[in-house]
Amino acid sequence: MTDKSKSKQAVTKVDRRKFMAGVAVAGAAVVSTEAKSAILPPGAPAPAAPSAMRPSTVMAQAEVATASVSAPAYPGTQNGKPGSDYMVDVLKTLDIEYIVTNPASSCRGIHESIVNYGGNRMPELLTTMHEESGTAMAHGYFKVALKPMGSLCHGTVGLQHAAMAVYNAWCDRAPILMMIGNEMDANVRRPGVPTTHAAQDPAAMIRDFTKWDDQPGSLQHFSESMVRAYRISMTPPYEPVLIVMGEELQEGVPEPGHFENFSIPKVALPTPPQGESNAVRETAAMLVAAENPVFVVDRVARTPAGLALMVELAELLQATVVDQGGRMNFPNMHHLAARGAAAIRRADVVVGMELTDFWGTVNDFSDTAHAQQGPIVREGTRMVSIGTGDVYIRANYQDFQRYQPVDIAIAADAEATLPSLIEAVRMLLDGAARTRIDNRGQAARDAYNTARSRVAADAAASAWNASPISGARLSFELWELIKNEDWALVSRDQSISNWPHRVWTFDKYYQWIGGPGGAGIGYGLPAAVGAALAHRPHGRLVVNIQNDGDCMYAPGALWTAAHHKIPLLNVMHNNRAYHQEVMHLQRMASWRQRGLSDGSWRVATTIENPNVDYAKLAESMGVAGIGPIENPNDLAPALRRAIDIVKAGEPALVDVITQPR
Amino acid sequence: MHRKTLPGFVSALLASLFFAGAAQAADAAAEDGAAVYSRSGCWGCHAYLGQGGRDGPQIAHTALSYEAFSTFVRNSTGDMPPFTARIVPDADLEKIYAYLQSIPEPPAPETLPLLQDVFSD
Ligand code: HEC
Repeated sequence: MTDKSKSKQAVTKVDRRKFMAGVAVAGAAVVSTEAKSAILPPGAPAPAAPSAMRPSTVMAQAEVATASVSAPAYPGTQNGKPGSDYMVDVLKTLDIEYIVTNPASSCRGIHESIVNYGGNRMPELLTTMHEESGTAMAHGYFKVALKPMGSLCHGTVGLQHAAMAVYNAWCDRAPILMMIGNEMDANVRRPGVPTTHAAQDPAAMIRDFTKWDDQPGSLQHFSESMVRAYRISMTPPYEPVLIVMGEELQEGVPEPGHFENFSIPKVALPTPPQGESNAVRETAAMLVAAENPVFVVDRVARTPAGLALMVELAELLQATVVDQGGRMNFPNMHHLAARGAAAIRRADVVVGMELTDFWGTVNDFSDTAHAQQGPIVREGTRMVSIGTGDVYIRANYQDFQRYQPVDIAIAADAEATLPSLIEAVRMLLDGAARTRIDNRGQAARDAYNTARSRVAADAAASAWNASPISGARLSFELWELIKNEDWALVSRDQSISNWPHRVWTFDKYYQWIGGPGGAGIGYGLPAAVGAALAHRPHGRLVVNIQNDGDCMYAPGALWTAAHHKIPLLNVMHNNRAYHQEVMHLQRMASWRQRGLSDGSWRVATTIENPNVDYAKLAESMGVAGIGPIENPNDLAPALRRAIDIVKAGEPALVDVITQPR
Repeated sequence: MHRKTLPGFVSALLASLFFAGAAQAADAAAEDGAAVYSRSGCWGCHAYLGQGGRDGPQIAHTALSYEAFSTFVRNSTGDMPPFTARIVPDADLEKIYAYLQSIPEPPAPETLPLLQDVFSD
């Protein structure tokens, strides 16, 4: 008899929660059909599913015929349907494909239920080597799948590991269903480690950067809170949420008949708020009258529809779009796409949509010894903000950035507001406006065609044959091999001087998913694995240009890719440094006029001596590893070999020794 | 003597020179300049061949005279931190300049097959 069953007996005696059933009440064996009818009384209609895609409870249960709990009672065993099976019933109504987990004792009840009761399908468990990686996988997955993944973590220490990834997702407006185990009742809690890992309010640690959390006191409460959590998470602004699952709630067996009224509420996702109609009309009037209207966009396109609407609006006005790249908001090779601050300097109207940092968009802050700062927009430039940032804010972490005064602030979801803004602009377009707009469009087309290609080609050629290999060469070699495929890039490209965005053609929503949001390193590799998982059913060729420093935070994500057969081409940008920090140290030493000639800025910034062999690292975890590639002429054959492996359904990694940026 | 402290990096630079075809072309002063360029850290923002990138413009084959180059490096108040003679002595900066001017001209973009797409857009 385990100490666990002892505690169950003790609990049963005091009848603490009524529904506990242990050895003492073993005679009251509950058979599976009774357990099912506790959820769904015979003849009762199935709970309405939230969409045609989601299985109803009835369907879900029909799929999991393994749920037999009708075995006769033996000492030390449980009889009846445990609480965590009910929890799985709830999860099955939510169209959750995957829950990523690092196994944990506080979650053992639901873990076992997902596998043996739920059949490890909808949701299926993914194994992660670290909760931060698992949560980042869920983050990357969402941005392609557009539905949330669960991240199941141990109470306290597991959540502590996950915390940075939750912050990234918060800043990046990505919903994740965080779930942890915990036990409040010291009388039933196992002493020692499980007690060390228990907390009165475990959610407190991440509450500043989650939208909602709850620690349900009963299974019915869990049912409502899980559905509510899903709904809150999936209402723009999308954000992570957390449900704390009591261990006794998971592991206990409700008494027969206790759940006659157990129900799973349906999810009706709220429609996101649209901009108020007068403010939208006023904005439209400003835009139509402007000489140089500029849209600055960061996370406008929550869905592919947002991308199409953004193109429609920009073309309607022939207005420049500066895409800050939090999502795939605008095609990078469109003649109205602009990079950098020049367009903003010229603007007479700036409409910022779902921006992380409006202040930083219209002001300059140069990182000099005397921190010069000031506006870059012309005096009198009118400004409008549209975004959910005004709808929802928290005080502690400063991701809301500096305060930027604007002329019109529309507190609404930008994507949901675009149709009415387009309509309002269309209503105002008279002959004179159309002529002005046509001329502006022609000028933009002319400027685009002449300038761009020459600059890019000259810059690319300038270190074409260099070793370490340049970001330009790497990007052109890759592009040659993927441009005729259905491809997607699942990493950022700042670290290689944005070369993919300078030369590849991004025009589909799924080809770009932005970055970590909170700039927390250790996101890149696992988020790429999560995104690749979401691309897998579509058979896309998924590319991750992987920074070496980021990889070393949690290389175990490679193992997850191998184990779950997630095809992903990892191309190392191996500059053997935390290069951003090299530059910071150079800057500090220069300001202080010391240390440069000793190379002091290499201390605690570089990742060399010894060099990391990423191909071997990958191989050790079952991922095909190629490299290190130092000669640029070896790059194409190495990439070709790796792409063959990825197309056959496996991950691969090519280690490329690169220029700093 | 500085080379001893930075063997990995200097060999990387020499490798760059090899692939850039510079080993044949560069004279001794310019090669020394490569080492000075490396330990002075200019590559951090301007990359190993001075080709530039996201964090600093191209400085190889600069159109600036040495005087203008040196004035900028010593007195920058913008995004580049200033490098005074105290941390990059005149003799070093001269070598850096010579090195940057000695890097072989890159291939013409028109001669690189992979770049032809860019022109046909
Ligand atoms: C921390 C990053 C950083 C480092 C290190 C750095 N630079 Fe720069 N450099 C820049 C930036 C950014 C600019 C553009 C500054 C501007 O436009 O005001 C620049 C501009 C220059 C220019 C002017 C180029 C032109 O054509 O206008 C020269 C010359 C130059 N750097 C030389 C050097 C030298 C020599 C070193 C090493 C001693 C060096 N830099 C180190 C960031 C850096």
